[in-house]
Amino acid sequence: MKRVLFFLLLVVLLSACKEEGTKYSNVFDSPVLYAKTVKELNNVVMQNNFPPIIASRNYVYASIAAYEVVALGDDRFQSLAGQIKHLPKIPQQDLNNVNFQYAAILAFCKTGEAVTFPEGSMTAYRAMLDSLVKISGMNAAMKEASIQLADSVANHILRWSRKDNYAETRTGERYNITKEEGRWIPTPPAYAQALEPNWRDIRPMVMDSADQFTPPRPPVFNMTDKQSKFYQEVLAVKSAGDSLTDEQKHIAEFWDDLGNRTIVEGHVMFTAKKFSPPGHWMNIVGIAAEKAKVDFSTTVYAYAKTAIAMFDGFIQCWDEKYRSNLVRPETVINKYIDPDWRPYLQTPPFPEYTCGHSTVSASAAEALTDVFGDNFAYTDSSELEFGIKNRSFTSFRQAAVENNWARFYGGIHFHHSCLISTDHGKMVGELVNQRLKMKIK
Amino acid sequence: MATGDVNNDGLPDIYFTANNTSGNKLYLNKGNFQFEDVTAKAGVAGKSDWCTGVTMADVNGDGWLDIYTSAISSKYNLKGHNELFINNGNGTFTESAAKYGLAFSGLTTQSAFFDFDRDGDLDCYILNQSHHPHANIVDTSNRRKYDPMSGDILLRNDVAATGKFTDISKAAGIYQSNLGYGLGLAIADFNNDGWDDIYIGNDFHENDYYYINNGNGTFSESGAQHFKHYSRFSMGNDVADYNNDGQLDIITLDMLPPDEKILKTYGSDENPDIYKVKLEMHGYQKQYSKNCLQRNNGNGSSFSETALISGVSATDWSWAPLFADFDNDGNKDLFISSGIVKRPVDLDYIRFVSDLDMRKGRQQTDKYDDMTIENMPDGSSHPFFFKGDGKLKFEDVSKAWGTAKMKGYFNGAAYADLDNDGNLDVVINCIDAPAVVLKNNAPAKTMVNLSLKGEGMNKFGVGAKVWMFTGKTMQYQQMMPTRGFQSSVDMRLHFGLDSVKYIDSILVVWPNQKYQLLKNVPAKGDMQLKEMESGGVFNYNEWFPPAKQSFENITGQIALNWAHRENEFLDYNKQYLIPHQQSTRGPKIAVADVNKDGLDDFYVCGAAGQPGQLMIQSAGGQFASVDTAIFGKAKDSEEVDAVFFDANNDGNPDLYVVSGGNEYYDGTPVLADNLYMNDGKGHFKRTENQIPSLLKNKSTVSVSDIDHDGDTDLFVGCLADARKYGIPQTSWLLLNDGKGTFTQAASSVIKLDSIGMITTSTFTDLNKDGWDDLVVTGEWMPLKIFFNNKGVFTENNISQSTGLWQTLLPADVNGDGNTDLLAGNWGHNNKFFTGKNGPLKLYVKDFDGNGSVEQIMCYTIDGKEYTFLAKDELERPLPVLKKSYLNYSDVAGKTVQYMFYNLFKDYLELKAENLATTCYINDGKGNFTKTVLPDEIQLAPVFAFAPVQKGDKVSFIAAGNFYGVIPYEGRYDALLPGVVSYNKSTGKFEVVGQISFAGEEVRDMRWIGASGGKRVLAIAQNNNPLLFVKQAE
Repeated sequence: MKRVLFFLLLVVLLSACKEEGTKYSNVFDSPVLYAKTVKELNNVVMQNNFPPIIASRNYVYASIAAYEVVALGDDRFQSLAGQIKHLPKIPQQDLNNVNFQYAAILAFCKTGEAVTFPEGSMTAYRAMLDSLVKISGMNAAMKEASIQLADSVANHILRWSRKDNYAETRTGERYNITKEEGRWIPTPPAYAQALEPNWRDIRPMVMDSADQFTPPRPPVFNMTDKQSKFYQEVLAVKSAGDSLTDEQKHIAEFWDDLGNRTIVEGHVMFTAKKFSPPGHWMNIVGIAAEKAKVDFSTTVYAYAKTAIAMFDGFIQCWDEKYRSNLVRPETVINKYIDPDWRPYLQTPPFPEYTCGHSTVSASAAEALTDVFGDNFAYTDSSELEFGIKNRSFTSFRQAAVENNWARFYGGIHFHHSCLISTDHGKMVGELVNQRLKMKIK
Repeated sequence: MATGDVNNDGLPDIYFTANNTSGNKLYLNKGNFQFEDVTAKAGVAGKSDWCTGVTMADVNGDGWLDIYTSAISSKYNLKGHNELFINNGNGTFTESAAKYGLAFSGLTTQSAFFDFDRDGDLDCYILNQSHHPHANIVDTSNRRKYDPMSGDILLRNDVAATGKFTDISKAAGIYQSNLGYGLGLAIADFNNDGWDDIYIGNDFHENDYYYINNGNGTFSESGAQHFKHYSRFSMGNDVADYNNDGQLDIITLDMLPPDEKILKTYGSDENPDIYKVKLEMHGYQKQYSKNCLQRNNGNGSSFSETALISGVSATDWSWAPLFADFDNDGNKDLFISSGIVKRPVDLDYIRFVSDLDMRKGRQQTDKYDDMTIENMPDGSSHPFFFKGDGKLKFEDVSKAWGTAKMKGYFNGAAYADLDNDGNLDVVINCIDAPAVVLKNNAPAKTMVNLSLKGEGMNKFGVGAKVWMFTGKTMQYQQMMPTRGFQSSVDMRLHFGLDSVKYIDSILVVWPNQKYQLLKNVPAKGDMQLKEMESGGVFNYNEWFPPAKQSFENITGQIALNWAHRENEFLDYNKQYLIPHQQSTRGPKIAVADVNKDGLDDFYVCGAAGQPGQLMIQSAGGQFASVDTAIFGKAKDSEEVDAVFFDANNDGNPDLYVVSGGNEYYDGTPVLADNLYMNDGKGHFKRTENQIPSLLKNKSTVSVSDIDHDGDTDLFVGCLADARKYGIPQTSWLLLNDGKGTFTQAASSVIKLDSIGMITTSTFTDLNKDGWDDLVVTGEWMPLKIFFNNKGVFTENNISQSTGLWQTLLPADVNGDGNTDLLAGNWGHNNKFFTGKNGPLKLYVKDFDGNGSVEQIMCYTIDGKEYTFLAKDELERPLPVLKKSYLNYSDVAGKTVQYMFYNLFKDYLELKAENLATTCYINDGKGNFTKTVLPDEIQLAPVFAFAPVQKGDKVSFIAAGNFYGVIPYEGRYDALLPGVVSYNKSTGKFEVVGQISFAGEEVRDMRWIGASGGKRVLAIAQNNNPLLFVKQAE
C-alpha cells in the first residue's frame, strides 16, 4: 500500500515536471511530500514497536532538524537555538545553491533514522528521494550543497540529542512491583513491564523541569467505602464499559492508538500494530496543513511545534505516573468487583495517573491551534488504514476533549484523570506557544 | 496409541487413534513384526471426529482387554464422545460407553482405569483440557468452579450394583474448573501407603496437580507441600523408579529446545517481577519451561527436580516420556517422543504475524491463514533415547540407538515386546506420517516379562507392585498401563536383569494388599504371578522400614520465636543483566559463650530492616534475645556476616558484624560495619571509631592473629559494587593494636587490591608452619591462598579453580594431617553445565558507553561462546544491538563475538571453569588435588558446610539452594542437606546421609554447645525461621 501511494505521488510530481518542460523544477517544495516523509518515519516507529513516549522523542528531533534547515532558508522563521535553552546555535553554514526543502526532508530522514532502528530503516525511502532529484533535473552542485547542509544540521541536532539522558535511562532502575494496594501492577494480557519508569529524567525542550506542572494528588485508593471518590471513579469506568454505545465504541477505538496490542493465541503471544498517540497527532498535523493549504515552511513549522508540545507533554505526564504509581481500573475491577471484566481497549503497560494520550492530545492541540487558529474544522482520516472510520472535529481542542472521553470509554482510565490530563497538557502546550517564537513574520 | 494383547494369543497388538472421523485402527500382531488391520472386522474404528488418547483395560473383568478412546467433542463442531469398546472375546468389540456411563463428551485428553478405592474393580479418571488457554491469568481461587466440558472427572465403578460408573469427582475432591489444561495423567502410589495417587500435568498457567489418595474415597491436591516447581507447559508424563531406590519418580515434559539456534528463537521466560505477578500473585506455584525430573525423596515426602543435571531437561516440543529398561541392564532408560508440525512460538514468526496483522488485517479475514501457517517454522524432531545409570543421570544415546536421524512429528507412543524376543520395542503414532515401529536390536541379556493374573474384576492386576531383588540391587515397578502421552503400554512388566541368572527374590503386592514372596527365581523370560497364590496383609513399613534418620529436628523444643525476613529488593531492577541476586545472602550465625556460663550463645544477622539478634542460651537449652536496643541501631543495615573474637584482649568474646546487601551505593552510612565490645557479662556496647569506615558492599569476615603479636586481626572481604557487578573489589586486612582498634595493613603485608568479588574467607594453616594462611574466594574467582610468611602474605591461586564459590570450610577430610578445603559452588543442576563443555564466562563492560556496566554471561559449547540470555533480554539495557539485528534468527545460534561485533572489545573477562562443589585435597606442600563431591550434592549451589563427628569418623553436611535467579535460569531448590564422607580407598566422597527437612535456602550451619557436652546444629535459611537439629544417638 505504501509503495502504491508513493508511486501515485511520483506520477503527480512527474506530471508537474512535464508541465514546466524539461527545465529544473523544485518538486521538493511540496507540503504533501514532507507529510509523506513524516509518515514514513511513523511507519518505522510502528513496525519496530517503539512505545509512544519514545516515538515522541523520535519525532521531535527529526522535526526540529527539518525546522532548523527551514529557518536557515526562510526568514519568516527563526531558529530554536537559544529558545530551547540547551539547543546550541547552528554553526555557520554555506547556504549557497541549497534547495532548502530537499535539505529539510533529508535532515528529517537522517535524524529520524539515527534515533530509530534498525540501521538504515529509511534507506529505501531515501533512494526514492534520490530518484526524485533526478526527475526534478536538479544539478549536481545543488544536490551536493543541500545534502551537505542537511548532514551538518542533522549532526548538530543529533549531538545535542545525545545529552538528553535517553541512553542513561536505558539502564535506569526498573519499577518495583509490590503487594501494596492501589499500586500499579502489570496488566493482562501481556503483563508487560512498566514502561520507561525513568522518563522524568529526559531533558525537556521547553519546560524548566519535569515537575513544573505537578498535578493534584489522585483520589486515595479506597475500595471499602463505596462513597469514596476512588470507588466512584472505579464504578464509573465499569458502568460506562458495560453499556457502551456504538458511538462511544467508535470514539474509544478511534483514539486507541495502542502501538502494540497484544493478542494471545495458545502458546503464542503476538502484537497487532497501530499508530501511537504521537503518531496519530503527527498525522493530524499533515491533515491540517493540507486543508489549510499552507506552504512547505509552515508545514515543517507546524510539525516541529506539535512534536515539541507532545515531547514535553509526555515528560510532564510520565513524571506524575511514576510519582503516584496508580493502579489501573482493570486491576481493581477484576480484584474487587468482577474477575471477568475486560476494558474495551487494552490497558497499556504503565500506571494510570495521569493519562498520556489526553495530555499530549491537549498539548498538541494547543500547538496546532497556535499555528492554524482556533475553530479549525477538519476530518481526521488517520485511522482509516486500520479500518476505523473517520471522525470530524470543529477544532483541535474539541478533539483533545473527545480524547479524554475515549480513554474513559476504553476502560483504561478514570475520567477524573483524563480531565486533569487535558488541563495539564494544555498548560504544557501554552508554555510551548508562549516561549517559542518560531514564526516571526 | 496403545499396545496390548486383545486376542490373548501372547502377542501385543496395537491400537492407534486418529484425528479424523472413524480413523482409529486396530492391528493384530501376527508375530515376526507382521500386523493385520482388523479395524473393520473388530468394529473399533470409532465414531468420533477427533480422538485423542486411548487406554486398554479389562473394564468388565472378563479377562479380555477392552479399549477406551478419548475424544475432543462438543466444540469446534467436533462430534462424538469417549468410546468404550468391550472385547467380545471373538475378535469383535461392542461400543458400550453409554451403557457403562462412560460416554463423556467434552475435551478429553486421556483416561485411566485403576482401583482407587481398593474394592477390586477398576474405576476411571477422565483427564480433560480447557477450552482455550487463558490470556488473562485467572486466579487460582477459581479452581473450585465447575466446568462441564473441561473439568476432570473421577468415576467409581458401580457396575456390580448399578451397571454403570458413577461420577464422584466433586465428593472426591477433584478440581473441575477450566483452569486445568490436562495433558499428562499418571497414576501411582507415590507415598507407599497402598492407595493409588494421581499426578496431573497441566499446560499453561495452571500448575500440575498432585492428588494424594486419602484412602477414604477422597483425594487431597497437595502439590505445594511436596513439589518445589513444575514444568510450565506440562505435556505427557511418566512415573517409574528410575534410580532403583524403591520410590516412584516422575518426569513431566515441556518444550525447551536442546539446539542452541532454536533455543534462541524460542520465547524465554519472563522477568522475575512479571513472573511474580502472573504466577505467584495469582496463587500458582513456580513453573519453568523445561522437562522436570522429580526424584521422590522418600514416600513422596518431597521431590527434588534434577532434569538439568540428569541430562533430560530439553527435548524440544515433547509429548510422551516412557521409562523402561530398553537395554536390559537393570536400569531404566527413557524414551521421549517429540516434534510439532509447526513451531508457533518462534519469535521471528511472531514478528511476522504481527506485521501481517497490521498490513493485511489478518484478524478480519481468514484469507491469510495459509500464509500465516506457511511461514510458521517447521518443528520436526526425532525420538530421543536416554540410557539411565540407575542413579541420577541419563545419557542421550539417540545416535547410538538409531533414532537421531529420524525426522518427523512423533506423538503418542507405547512400548511392548512385540516379538517376544526379550526386549522392549516401541511404537509411535506420528502426525501426517505413517506410524513408526522401532524394533529393539539390543544384545540379549537376561530379563523377565512378567504378567499378572488377578482375581475378581481386576484380571490384569492393575495397581499391583512388584519388587525384584538381585544382589545388592532392587528394581520396583507398579502395573499401570496408562503412561506417557495419550497412550497405554503392554500389560506385562518388563525387568532387565543384565546377566543375573537367578533372581534372589520377587515380592508382589496386589491392590487388595495380599502379597507373595518368591525366592531364588530363575530369570527365564516369561513369567506369571497369580493373585490366588498370594496371602496375608502387606505392611509396607515392615518390609521397607524407614531409613534411620541421622538427625532429629528439635526446632519445636527450642521454640525460638524469631525468623529471618528478607527485605523486598530485586537486584535485577537495578542491574538488568546481573547473573543472580546478591542481596539474599543471609542470615549468617556467629557462636560463642558470651556470658561464660558454659553454654554457647549465638548472634544471627538480620536482613535490611530487621535487626540482628544476640541469643543467650538458658540452662534449659532455650534462647532469649538480649541487648535488642544496642543491635537495633543497625536495623537498616543488611548484615551479611558476623564473628565473635576477643578484640581487646580482655578475655571476652566481642562481636564484629559485616554490612552489605548489594542494595546501597558505596559510601552509604548503613554499609558501615559494627564492632561490639563485650562487658564480660554477656552484654555489648557498640564501639566508635575503632574500625576503619568501610562503606562498601561486603560479604565476609575472618579472624586470626596473623602477625603473632598476641591479638586477633581481621580480614574483611568485599563482594561487589552494588551498581557494577563484575568489577573486582578491594578487600581489607585489619590489624589490631591490641586494644581493639584496627587499622588497614600496609600493602607490604598483603596485596588485596581488586582481588575479586569475595563471598567467603577463612584463616587456616595450610603448610603447617604455625602461621595461619588466608584463603579467600568468591564469584568468578579462583581459590586464592595467601600464604603467611611470619606476618607477610604471598598470593597463590589454585590453578583452574575459578568458579561461583559461596563458602569454604577448612578440614582434614582424609586424615593425613593436612588441612583440605571444602568449597561450595554453583553445582551442576543448571543450564550452564548441562550440554556445555567449557567455562562459563562473564564479560563486563559499559558496552554502549551510557555510564552503566553490563554483564554478558556466556556458556561454552565446543569452544564457542553463546550468550546465556536471548536477544530481547540483552537489548533492554543495550538497545544499540537492535541497530544491527532485527530478526531473532540473525543472532540465534551465533557466538557472542558475532552478536556484539565491534562492541566486543576492551572488556573485562571473568570465568568459572569449575561449577562443582569441590574438595581441594592438600598434600601439605601447597599442592591441591580437585575432588568433586557426588552428584547428589551438585543439585544446587552450596552455601554452607558443617562438620559432623561420630566417634572418630568425620563427615560433612553440605547445604544450599538458591532462589534469586531469573525464571529462565530456574530457581535452585533440589538440594536437601546431604552428608558426605571421604572414602580413602576410592579417593572419593560418598553420600552417607541426608537431612530431610531443611529444603529451603540454607545460608549457614553452626554447632552450638549445650549443657552436658551436647551439641545442637543451628541451620539458618533465608527468609525462614532457624532450624535446630541434633545428631541422632
